[in-house]
Amino acid sequence: MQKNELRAFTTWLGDNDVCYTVVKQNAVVELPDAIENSDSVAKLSEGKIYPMLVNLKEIKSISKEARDHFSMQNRPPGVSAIGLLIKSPASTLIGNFFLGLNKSIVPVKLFTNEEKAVLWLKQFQKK
Amino acid sequence: MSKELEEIYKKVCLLAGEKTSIKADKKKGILTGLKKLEETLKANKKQEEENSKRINEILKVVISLANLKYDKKAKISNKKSHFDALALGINMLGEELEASTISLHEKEVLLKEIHHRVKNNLQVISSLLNLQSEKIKQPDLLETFMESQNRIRAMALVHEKLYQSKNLSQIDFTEYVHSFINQMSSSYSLDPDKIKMHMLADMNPHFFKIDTAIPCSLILNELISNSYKYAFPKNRKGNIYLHFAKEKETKNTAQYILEISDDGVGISPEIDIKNTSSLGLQLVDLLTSQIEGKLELDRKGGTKFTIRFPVEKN
Ligand SMILES: Nc1ncnc2c1ncn2[C@@H]1O[C@H](COP(=O)(O)OP(=O)(O)OP(=O)(O)O)[C@@H](O)[C@H]1O
Ligand SMILES: [Mg+2]
Repeated sequence: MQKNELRAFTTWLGDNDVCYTVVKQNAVVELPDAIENSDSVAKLSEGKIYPMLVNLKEIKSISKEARDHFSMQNRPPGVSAIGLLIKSPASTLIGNFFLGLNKSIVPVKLFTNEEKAVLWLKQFQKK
Repeated sequence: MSKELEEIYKKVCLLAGEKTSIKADKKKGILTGLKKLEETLKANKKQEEENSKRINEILKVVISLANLKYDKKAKISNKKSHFDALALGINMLGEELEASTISLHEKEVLLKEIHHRVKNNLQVISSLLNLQSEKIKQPDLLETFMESQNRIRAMALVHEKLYQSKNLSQIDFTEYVHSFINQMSSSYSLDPDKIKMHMLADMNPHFFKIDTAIPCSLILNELISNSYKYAFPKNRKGNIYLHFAKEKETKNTAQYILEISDDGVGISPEIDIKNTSSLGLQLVDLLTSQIEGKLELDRKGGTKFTIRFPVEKN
């Protein structure tokens, strides 16, 4: 499996047909990073739509424009659902923003446990 | 071993009812424990100074948001602490408010609310922190340690009562006062024949919201600790009285009275309670205005603090 190292993220497509994004240590996520991420996910998916696990644990901050991009309000979603992996107070807070003020058009749920997140995401796999 | 540590060591021996000439292995145990305590306190002091700086910074951003100015941002460190999350949260909220299409009036209402909540909470934390770092400059580390424990315990008790109560947003302050007194008398393990504690509290339940309960619990803690600490020096005997009751009520609000008094030596006449350099009474003054209360001091025959405050009925 091919891992893509972006400025703020690492992305790959798992053998389990779940798309992965891991935020790098202390990343300050801006709009170009968000675009780089969705481009990378689009390439990995090759026209198919997968559910995505985003590990936010190490994030430092995320700009308004990047949040809006990830909420996918004005673009085709590219993923079927998003599981957000949280731990630090900041990652929890950002997770909550994606449930409230920056609501995404696909289902979003917060998890602290990766296995549980993947289990939840699997129901959104397109047959 | 530092001077402070030596002092503490002597006190611990006294407290344990031992002569300074206790067995060598026991002594070693106590000393290692104390050294650890000293190191922790030193580290804590630095942390507390850092924390109050962060709080002030965040507060400034909140204030500018409340004035509908969105350009100020709180700094975020790489530590991923609760302060970093608070700073990030305030920043993100500011961005959303700036971008949102809600009316100016709605924004104002929303921001006043945020300002009020954040400020109240931060003020309490920050006073506590100031108090702490101020005290740690003084030599008596053991006392400092015990006192900070009491302050934290007073607040923790409120939370505990809150979780125990069926109604999660309100706490029965009558019950709180009783638990508090139990906790207090055991933390100042003094001779009950020397100082007697008297409760004149109404036994009926009185439910307070957390915004009122926390300030009240801290006021209680400061004033009762002062009576224990200063009212009865040397072998003086005496009494401490606590009076808590609902005084009157109208359709929408009730007025409560919280009175802490002692028949001790009295606060020295030079001390102006509205203008002290010591932090305990400053905190009492600050917290009283936070609950929109009135503070009075009667110096006849000892010390009597009376706080009257309104509580909105729901
Ligand atoms: N009940 C009392 N009886 C006699 N003196 C008192 C009493 N309460 C306060 N004082 C005097 O007033 C001073 C100021 O009290 P305050 O609580 O502000 O400061 P503190 O107790 O010295 O320090 P801190 O409360 O910040 O730990 C005390 O140092 C003490 O001399
Ligand atoms: Mg005091």
